[in-house]
Amino acid sequence: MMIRRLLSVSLLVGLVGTASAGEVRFTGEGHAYNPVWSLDGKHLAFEVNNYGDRSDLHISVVNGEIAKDASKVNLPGGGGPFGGSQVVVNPAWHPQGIVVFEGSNTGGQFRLYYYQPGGGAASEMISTTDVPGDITFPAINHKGTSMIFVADQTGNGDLYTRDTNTGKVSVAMQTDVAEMFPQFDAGGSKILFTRKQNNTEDIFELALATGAESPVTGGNNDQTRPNYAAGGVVYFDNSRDSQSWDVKYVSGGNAKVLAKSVRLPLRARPAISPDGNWVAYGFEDPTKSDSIMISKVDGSKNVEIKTPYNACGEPAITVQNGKTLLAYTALPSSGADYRRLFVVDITGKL
Amino acid sequence: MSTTSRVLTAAIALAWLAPRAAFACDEAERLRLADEIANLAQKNAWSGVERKYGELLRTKCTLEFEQYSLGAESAKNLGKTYEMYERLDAAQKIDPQEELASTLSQLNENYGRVEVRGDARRRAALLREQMPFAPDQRKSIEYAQSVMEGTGSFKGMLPIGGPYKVADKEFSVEAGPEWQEVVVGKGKGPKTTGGTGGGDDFSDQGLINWVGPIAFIGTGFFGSGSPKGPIYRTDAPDEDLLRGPVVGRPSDPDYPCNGNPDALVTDANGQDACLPTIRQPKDIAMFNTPNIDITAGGEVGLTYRAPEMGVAATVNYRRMFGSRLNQITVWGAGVVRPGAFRFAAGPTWGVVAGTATGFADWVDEGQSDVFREQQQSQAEAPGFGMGGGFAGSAGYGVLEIAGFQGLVELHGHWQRDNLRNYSGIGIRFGIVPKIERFEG
Repeated sequence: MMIRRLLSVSLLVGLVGTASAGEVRFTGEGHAYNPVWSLDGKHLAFEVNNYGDRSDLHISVVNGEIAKDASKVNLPGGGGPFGGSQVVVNPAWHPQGIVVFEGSNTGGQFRLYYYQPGGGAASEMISTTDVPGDITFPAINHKGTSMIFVADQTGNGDLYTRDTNTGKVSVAMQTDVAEMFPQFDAGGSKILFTRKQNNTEDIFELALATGAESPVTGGNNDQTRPNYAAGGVVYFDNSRDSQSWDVKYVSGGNAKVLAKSVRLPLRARPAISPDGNWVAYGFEDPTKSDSIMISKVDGSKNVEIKTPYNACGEPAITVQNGKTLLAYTALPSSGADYRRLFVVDITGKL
Repeated sequence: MSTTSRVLTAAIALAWLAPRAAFACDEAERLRLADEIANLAQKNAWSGVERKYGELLRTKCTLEFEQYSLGAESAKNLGKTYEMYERLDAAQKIDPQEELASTLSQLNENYGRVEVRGDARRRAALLREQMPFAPDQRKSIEYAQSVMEGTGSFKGMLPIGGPYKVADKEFSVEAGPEWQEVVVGKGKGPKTTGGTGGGDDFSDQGLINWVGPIAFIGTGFFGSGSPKGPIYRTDAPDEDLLRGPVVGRPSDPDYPCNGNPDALVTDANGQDACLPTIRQPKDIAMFNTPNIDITAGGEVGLTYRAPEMGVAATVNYRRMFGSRLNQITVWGAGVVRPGAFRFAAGPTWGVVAGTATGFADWVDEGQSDVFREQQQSQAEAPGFGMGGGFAGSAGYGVLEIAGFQGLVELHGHWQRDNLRNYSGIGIRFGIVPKIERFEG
């Protein structure tokens, strides 16, 4: 039985040759992480983390596999040559081409900032008079009419929305425990989020109109970083083994494993293709770490994207002018100091 | 010239010189304000920074990079995008920096220049159905909306796209250096109810922009040249006619009647006689006649578009110290108030009454030469005259006092009765109604 399964998997896996990738170059030293495509696929935001005093956000203009040298986004007051350390992470794109992200200057609070590629410094998105404290996990609905984020002004992570048209910030959910990873559904009427309670993280859905919340999935350990996909939700799960992560898909309460022992991205959700049908991931297993695997969320097909690099992970998929592009990070060689970011055209492979 | 006259002359000269001083750089004030701006910016008190930046500009000094930069930051925080652009551009000219160039370029790409020309009395609202996501773009629109609400017009930068709507005009903003003009009519839409929804949306202003009392007190000089003479009393009764040796004087070149054949008449006895002249004070020298000037009245503002215009009506009393003359005039003036200035001009009607010293040298009532000279220099000449004239003033607001604008103004007036001109100049301080203007 096991042999038959292995055979069928090997038949379904497209044997894609080593893809030639365009490197996204950036200045400074650090690991490239968490690439996030703009909705039109023309910009790629990613983090560069030196595991020291700073994590910067860089943005590159991408045309096919050709990526312009990325430019670093500076927080207000952090643009000078002697600017203090900054941590800038977790970008999310608005349809108008504006990127929103978490930022913190010299160990201060995390606030949300926004930046329009090509501009000067970033600006604060939500003032401290509107929402004090740390605010994190920005997510924007597909039409760009609303943004959701997590704020900790009550001491726990609560969900807040900001209406684009009115600029008003409202509480979407406030509980005694921490809510995280909010995300709008395609229609913008529901919010997917996780809740950490009793040392276990589970996934829920909130109907914005009624405020009614319903469980999506749960289990031992953590079910985290959920992402809406076609007909269901894809998430990372370590219920099988607290030391390893699986990619799972849940629909109508039925969860199934899409891949086991994947490389957990630094902070990203599972990478879903724009049409919601595919999920991309890398493996922990060093023998498979020169590939990015892309699986259909219904489990019917897997496509392996071979690369010339090691420790591939942090994938992100977009469609740009009809081309399907995959961004991922990898060590250029086994002894390389830092993970680098690459873009590869995988048009026609999904 | 008396001491009073000297003091008055100095005051008028000072008033003339003061505006010149206003156009010179006040370096000490610039340094003080620059320091204050830096402190306010550290506290993110951007409204304060903007206010101080305005004061900094009024010092007429050349600003430094840091001041332009902070001014741009405050403009950004308040949604004044075009002002931000201009200040960044000025900063860039002082110290070209890549980041500034990039910000300017981004502003040019994401914003367009728009001039909405509307009616200041019937102000159309600026509407945009879908607001942009970025808070600074949103602020830019909200600032433009507040300017439209405050003035009925707007000139500045708005985020590209739209559509925007003002009255019945719908337009989209395009990027680029050209100014896009949108001319708004008076419109026929309903009165405003606020909001950003569709439909015509107007805010009607009242007929009167401002109304209130005005009062001034000041000082000046008053003068009057004596009328050209001699002016004869053609209706003089027979007993007043000048006869015999007093009919003209041998010393006059064309004896009799001072050489004026028109003055030669025949009296009731068929004898030659001369007409006497009327009695008029001699000329009143301007700078020897200081006065106190008290004015009270009211002012009504009738327009909203700058420079605002209105009308004023006042009653003015002047007491001349040198000649014990009094002048009371009523003045109806048109008023223009551009910025801190106030200009008023219009007709007057007034009465001059009192006693002057000395007669005009042509006064001839048959008196002896000795007595005539005495009259011409020392005799008190009571008089009364009335007639129309014209007055004008130019003032500058120097402070605000409880809803009023405190002004220093120079003024001049002229009046004529049937015989002579009365004129004066002076300086006075007073209050006029403060115009509530939009201050972005």
